[in-house]
Amino acid sequence: MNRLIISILGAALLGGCADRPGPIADDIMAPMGEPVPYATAEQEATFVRGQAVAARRFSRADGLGPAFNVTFCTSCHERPTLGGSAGSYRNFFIAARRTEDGAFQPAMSSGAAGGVIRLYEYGDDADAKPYFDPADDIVARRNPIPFFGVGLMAEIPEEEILKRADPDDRDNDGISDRPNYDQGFVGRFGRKSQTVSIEGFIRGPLFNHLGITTDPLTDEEKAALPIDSSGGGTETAGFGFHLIPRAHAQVAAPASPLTDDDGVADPELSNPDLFDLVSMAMLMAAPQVEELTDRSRAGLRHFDAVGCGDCHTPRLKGPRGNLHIYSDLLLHDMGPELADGLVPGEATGSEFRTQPLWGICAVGPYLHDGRAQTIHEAIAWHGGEGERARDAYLALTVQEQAELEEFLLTLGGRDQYSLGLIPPDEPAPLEGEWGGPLPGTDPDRFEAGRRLFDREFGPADGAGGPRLNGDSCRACHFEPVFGGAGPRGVNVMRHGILTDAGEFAVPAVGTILHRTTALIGAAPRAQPEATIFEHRQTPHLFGLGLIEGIDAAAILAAADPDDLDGDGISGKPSWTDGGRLGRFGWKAQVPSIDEFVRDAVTAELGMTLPWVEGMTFGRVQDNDDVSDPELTLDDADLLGDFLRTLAPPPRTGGDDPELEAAGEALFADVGCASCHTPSLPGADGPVPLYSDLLLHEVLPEGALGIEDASAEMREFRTPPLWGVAMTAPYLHSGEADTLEQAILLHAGEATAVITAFTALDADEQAALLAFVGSL
Amino acid sequence: MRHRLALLLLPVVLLGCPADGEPDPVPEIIDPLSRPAEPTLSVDSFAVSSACAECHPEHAAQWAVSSHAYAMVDPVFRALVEVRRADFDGAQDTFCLQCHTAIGTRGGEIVPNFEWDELSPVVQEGVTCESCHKVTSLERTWNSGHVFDPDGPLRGGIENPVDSPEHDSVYSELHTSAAFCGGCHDVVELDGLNLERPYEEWTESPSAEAGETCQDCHMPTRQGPAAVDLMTDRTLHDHRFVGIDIPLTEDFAPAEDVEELRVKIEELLATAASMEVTAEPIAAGETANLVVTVTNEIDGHNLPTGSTFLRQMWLEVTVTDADGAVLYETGHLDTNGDLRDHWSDLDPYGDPNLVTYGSKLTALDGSPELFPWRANEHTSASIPPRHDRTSTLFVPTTPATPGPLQVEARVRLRTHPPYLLRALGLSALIERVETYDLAEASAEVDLLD
Repeated sequence: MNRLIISILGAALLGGCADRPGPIADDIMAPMGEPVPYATAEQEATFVRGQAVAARRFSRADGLGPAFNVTFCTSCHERPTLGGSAGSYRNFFIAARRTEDGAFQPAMSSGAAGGVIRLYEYGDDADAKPYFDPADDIVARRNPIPFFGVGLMAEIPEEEILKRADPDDRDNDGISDRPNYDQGFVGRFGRKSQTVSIEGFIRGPLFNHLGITTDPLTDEEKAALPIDSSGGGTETAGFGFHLIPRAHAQVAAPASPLTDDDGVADPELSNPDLFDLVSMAMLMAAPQVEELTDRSRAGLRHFDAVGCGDCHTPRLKGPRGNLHIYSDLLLHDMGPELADGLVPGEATGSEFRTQPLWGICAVGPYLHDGRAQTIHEAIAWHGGEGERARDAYLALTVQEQAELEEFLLTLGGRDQYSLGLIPPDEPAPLEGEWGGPLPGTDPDRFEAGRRLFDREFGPADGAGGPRLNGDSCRACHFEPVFGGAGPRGVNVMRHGILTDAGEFAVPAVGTILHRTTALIGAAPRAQPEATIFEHRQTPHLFGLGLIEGIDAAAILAAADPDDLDGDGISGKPSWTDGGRLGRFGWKAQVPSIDEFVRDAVTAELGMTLPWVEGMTFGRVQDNDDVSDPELTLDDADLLGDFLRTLAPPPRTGGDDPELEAAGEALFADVGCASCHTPSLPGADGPVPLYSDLLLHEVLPEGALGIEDASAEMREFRTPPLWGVAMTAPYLHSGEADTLEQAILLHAGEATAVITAFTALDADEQAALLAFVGSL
Repeated sequence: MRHRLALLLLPVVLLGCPADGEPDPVPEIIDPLSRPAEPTLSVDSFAVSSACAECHPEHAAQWAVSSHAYAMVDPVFRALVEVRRADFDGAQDTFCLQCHTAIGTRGGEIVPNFEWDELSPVVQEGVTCESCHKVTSLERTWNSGHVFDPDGPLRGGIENPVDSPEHDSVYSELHTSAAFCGGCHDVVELDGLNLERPYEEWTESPSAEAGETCQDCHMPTRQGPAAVDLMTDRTLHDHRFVGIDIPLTEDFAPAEDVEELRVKIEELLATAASMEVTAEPIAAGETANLVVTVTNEIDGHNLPTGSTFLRQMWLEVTVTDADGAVLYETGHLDTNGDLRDHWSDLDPYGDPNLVTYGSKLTALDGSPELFPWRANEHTSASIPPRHDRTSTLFVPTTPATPGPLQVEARVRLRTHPPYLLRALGLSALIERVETYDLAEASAEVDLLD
C-alpha cells in the first residue's frame, strides 16, 4: 500500500496552531506511522527495519507459540496504519482470580502470560484452545493501544507527571490523580500506566500474544537506542538546548530472558531485530494536529468548560518542549461503569490511565475494552471521577457536542481515517493482479464491494451481538491482499461435545467458539462439556465465482461415496441445508456465494440480514440492541458480487518450467490429482482449481473433529490448491507452515498417496512441490 | 436503534464497589419509574377486580382465567422469584415484580424479601383491571414503561364513553396501540440482556406494516354492552388475552373456563405454523437428506415469542422402513419427559440431531444456563414472522433397508419443560403442562434399486 502519498498530504497541513492551549514542540509531529522529524538518517533506516519486524509473519518454525493470539505485531497495531490500534476483533482478554488469602493471581493460559488469555495452541499434547480455568473469574477485555508518540512520552521527566499528582484530592476537585509505578519509576504506558519501559512493553506482548521469546537488549544496545536506556549521566538532545537525564526510566526493562518449549531455540527474535523494533516504537512521531477552525475552536471552549482537561491535560512538557498529549498519564477512578478488576502496580480495579487524545480520530474503537465505537459513546461511558465532566458533556446541546468532537478530530489522524484499512485514496487492484477482478467486471462496483469488504463494523452497527470473530470481512481475509487467506491469528475455533455414545453434539452457542463479544462482560468461554476443539484456517476467496459456476453434475459425477471403484478413495458430495450441494468451506458446508456471505456475516461478524426466500444461512434476528436487519440486502449483494468477480489467483510459477512440468506429472502419478482434480468444467470453460469439491476422510482413524452438515468428523472438502504459494499456513487447522508439511499430514484416504510421495526421491519431491507452489 | 445506553448507566451507577474484607449487602436496583426507591403511588388508590366485576362481570370473568390474573399466582413465577431472591438476598425482588404487579412495586409493597401472603389483595391480583385502565402514558416500551394516574379516570379503547356514576371514563388511543402492550411485553435484564422481545419483534413485522396490533389477535372483539345496565352495544375486547398458557394450578379458575381457554389457544395455534418435508429418492445404503422447512405463519411476532428461554419448541421426526423398523428419530422425549439435550438427566446429548426453535441462555463459564439473571448471553433461534427455517436431516440406510421410507414429522411447542419444573421443585405440575402440535407433515422416500 502506498502510504507515502498520504503522508505528504498530511504534512502539507502543518501550520501554525494559534489558540491551542500552548505551543507544541518543534519537530515531533508527523502523519501517523511516520518517524519523528528529528530522526537521524541512521535512525530512519532503523525505523524502516523495525517496521519490517513489526509486519513479519511468524511461523511455527520461527517460534510462534506454542500458545498464541496473533502471528505478527501489526495484527493489533494496524489502524489506521502500522503502530496504531485495531478493531474490536483484535480485542483480547486478561484474566485473574483472587486467592483465598486475597492475593491477586493472574490467570495461566497454557503457561504464564501475564494473565493474557491465549486463543490458540498447536501441539500433539495440547488442546487447540488453551484451557481457560473457570476459577479465573476476573476477566477484563482489552483493545490494542496505539504506539504513536510513545518515545516522546518516555522522555517526559517524572517530575512533570508527579507535579499533577493529587492522590488524596487535596484540591478537592473530586479527582484523585494517582501515579502508577514500574520498578520504582513513574509508569506511563498501558491502560493503567503500569509500564515504563518501551523495551518491556514490546517484549511482554511478543511473548504473551505471539509466543515469541526474546533476550533483554544488552547495555550496548540499550545505549544505542533512540532514547538511551542504559542508565547514568545526561545527554543533550535537539539542538543542544535540552538536557535529558540518562538515568532514564527506560532502564526499567525486564532483565531476564524469556523462554518457551515449542522446540524452537530461544530467543526466537534476535537482539538486532528487537533493537530495531524498540527503536521504531521510540521514533514513532506524535500525530499531526490540524489548524483550528471557528467550529473546532468552539469545541475547544466546550472541552475546557466541561472539564475534560482536568485529566486530559492538554500539554505535558518534555525535554523537546510541549507535547500535545491530552493526558496527565495518571490514574483516575473511573467508577463501576468501567471497572475491570485488574490491579497492576498501584492501580485499583477501577482506575485507569488517562488515555492520550492525540490522534484519537483514527484509533477507535475507544476505551480500554473497545466498547465505545464513537467518541460520543466513549465520553458517555465515563464514570467515577469522570462523571461530572460526562454529565456536563451530556448536558451540552447536540450542536455543542458535535463542536467538541470536531475539536478532538483536529488532534491528528483525520486524513488517515477510513472505515476500514484501505487508505482513502488507494486505487483498486487491476485485472491480473492478486485481488483484482475477473475480466469484464464493472470496476466501480468491484471497488465498492472491496471497500465494503474492508469496512469495519462496530457494536452500533450490530456487530458482535452477542459474539464475533471479525469486525469486517477483511479482518480475516487479507493474505497476501484483501480477499485472501488469513494467518493463524484469525483462525476460527470450533468446538463440540462428544457424547457418551461417541456421537458429536453441538454446544449451546453453536460449534464456533468466538474470540470476542460486543457484550460488556466475560470472554466467550467453551461450554465445560466441550472436549473437541479444532482450528479452522481462513482460506482465500479468489476465484469463488468460478467455483460457483461449476456444473453440479460434474462434481457429482466424480462422487463415489461407497468406493465402488475400489480405489480406496470415496469422494462424498456434501449436502447442506435445503438439500443443496455444498461447495464452500472446509467441510463444503455452504452451497453458494450468497449463502457464504450470509453465513459469514452472521457467524463471524455477529450481524443479521434480511430474510431471502430459499436461503437458509445467516440470522435474520439476534439479541443485541440494534434493530434487525443489521446489514442491508444491497450490501449483502454487493459483498456477494465482489466475491463472484474476484479473480482466481494468478499463477506464480514459471521460474523453471521444466521442473514444474515434471512435478505436474508426478502430481498425477502419485495420486494427488485423484482428489485435487486439476480442473472442473465451469460456466465459461475449465476451472483450474485443483479440487473435486467432494468430501474425503483425511484425518487418521480415531481423530476427533467437528461435524458440519453432512461431513463427518474426519471428512473435509478437498481444498482448492490454486493460490497456495501465497496463502500459508495450510490444512483446515493451519498447522502446516509449508506445503511439504501439509502433504505429510494427510492421512485416512490419502494414506496411499502419501506413501507414494514419501517414496519419491528428493529431486522428485522438490519438483512436485515446485509444481504445487506454482499454482 | 433503540438507545439503551443511558438506561443501562443508571442501574450500574448504583452498584457500589465492595470494600475490602467484609461482603457488602447487595445493592438494590432502583428505576425511578418502575422500581422507585420510595413509593410513587398508593396501593389504596386501586380497586380490586371484584369491585369492577359488579358492573363488568363478563370482562372480569374473562380476565380471571387469563395470564394477567395468574401473574402473581403462578407457582412457576413465584419459584423463579424465590431463586432470584436467594441469589441477591432479595435486593432484586422488584425486577420481575415491576411488571407482574406494577401497583405493588410502585406502591411500596414489593420490597426486598417481601412476604407473598402479606401483599394487599389488589397487589396479589397481579396485572389487574386498573394496572391497565389507570395508565395515562408510556415512558418506554419495555420493563414496565407505563405511567399511572392513580386518581384519574379509567381509560380504555371505547370512544365517547358514557358518564358513569362509579367512575369517570376517558377514551385512550394508547390502549388500542401495540406499544401499550410493549410497556411490559419487552423485557431487558438489568445487565442489558434482551430477554423477551414480542413488542420489538412486532415493530418490524408485517402486522405492524399493515397497522395490526397485539390486541387484534389477542383481544378479539364482539359487540355488546360495556357494563351491566347499559343499552348501547360497543366493540368489546376479549380479556382472556389468549396466548399459549393455561394455568397450571388446579384451583385457579373454574374447570369449564379453563377448558374454554384451551379451545381458544388451540384455535389460535392452529394457524401459527406450517411445515414441509421433502427428500429425493436414494439408493439403499445411501444417506437420505430430509429437508424440513418450518414456517412461522404468524404476522405479528416470532415463533416462539415471549419468554422463549423457558418455552420449548422443537422438531420431532421419525423415519421407519417398509417393515416399520425405526431408522432415525429426533425430538423424542426421555422418560422424564425431557428432550434429550443438555438438560436431560437421563440421556444428556442423546439426541445430537435435535432441532429446536427456542432460545438459549449461556452463563459466564460457557455452560447453558437456566436463569436469565445468571446468564451472560441469550441467543435465539425463534423464527421471525412469516419467515421459515430449513434444516436438513441426514438419515442413514443400509443396502438391506427395505423401501420406501416413511417420514413422520411434527413441530411441537410446550409452555414449560419438565427439567425446569423439577429444578424449581414443582414436579407435581409436570403432568399439567400442555404440549401443542403446531404442524405436521409426512413424506415417503423411495429407495431406488
